[in-house]
Amino acid sequence: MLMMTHQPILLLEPNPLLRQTVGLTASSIGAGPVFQALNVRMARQETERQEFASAMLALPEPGAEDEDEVMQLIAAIRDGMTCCAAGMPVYVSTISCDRDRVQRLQQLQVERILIKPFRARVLIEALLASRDRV
Amino acid sequence: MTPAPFTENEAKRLEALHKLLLLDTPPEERFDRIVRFAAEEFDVPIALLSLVDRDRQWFKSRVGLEACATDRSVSFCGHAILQAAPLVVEDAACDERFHDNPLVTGPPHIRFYAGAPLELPCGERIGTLCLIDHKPRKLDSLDLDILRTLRDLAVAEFGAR
Repeated sequence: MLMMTHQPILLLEPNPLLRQTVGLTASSIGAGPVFQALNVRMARQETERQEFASAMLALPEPGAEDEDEVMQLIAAIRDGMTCCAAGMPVYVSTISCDRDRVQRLQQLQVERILIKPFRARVLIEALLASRDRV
Repeated sequence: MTPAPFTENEAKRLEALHKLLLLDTPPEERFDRIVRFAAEEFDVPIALLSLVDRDRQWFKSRVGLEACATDRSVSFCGHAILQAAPLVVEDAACDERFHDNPLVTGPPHIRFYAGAPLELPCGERIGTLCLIDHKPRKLDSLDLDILRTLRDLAVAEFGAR
């Protein structure tokens, strides 16, 4: 049985059905509350409002509009510019990840990179694992 | 073969189903996306949003199946609506209820079935979100949780019109 904590998990995923399936299932099986962010701006606002136990963030493909914003969000977390602990586990999901991207994410101390497409189950298991780390 | 039985409260159940005004309506993307997602998530050739009517089951949304309805007596979903929990048949060929069912011995050659009943707020179960495969399968507890979530999302759409 998973331990319930008071801190929610932050889930940033623009695909609504994937986001809802992962968020609702994870919550229902004892991962605790999952805050579902539709976009990086919403995710950023929430990190400035409350602390999260961990974050699962969808990173757009290279060159996409929000790519830098997601990277900046992770950097802000690491720099203590949000309400979250600087060392909060951060997981990233993305369509592609070349060596430069991997290096940049490693510098940001991302815990794990999940390559899309994947089943909702994969994301749920990652969320549960992130909860267990807390 | 065990024909799909009628529920105890069949009249009320049918009333609740017919009130939704969904039977025999055109496909809708809000349901189709859930069924497509289910088919991909579970890697099954067939996924359906099935509504169990008096004498038939009719598919509001379907992936991998040409037919838009079947007789209720041979429907797996007719069995699934008898209980709140999902009905899982790991191998229909080895199940006494279904081994000689024409949907097993003939097209679409069902071997695996998992159906989560669509239960309305009033308590009536009007159909299922179901997965079908041509080979035996198992679902673990996380798979069932995901299926239940997708079912809940479909049910939420009934009230969203």
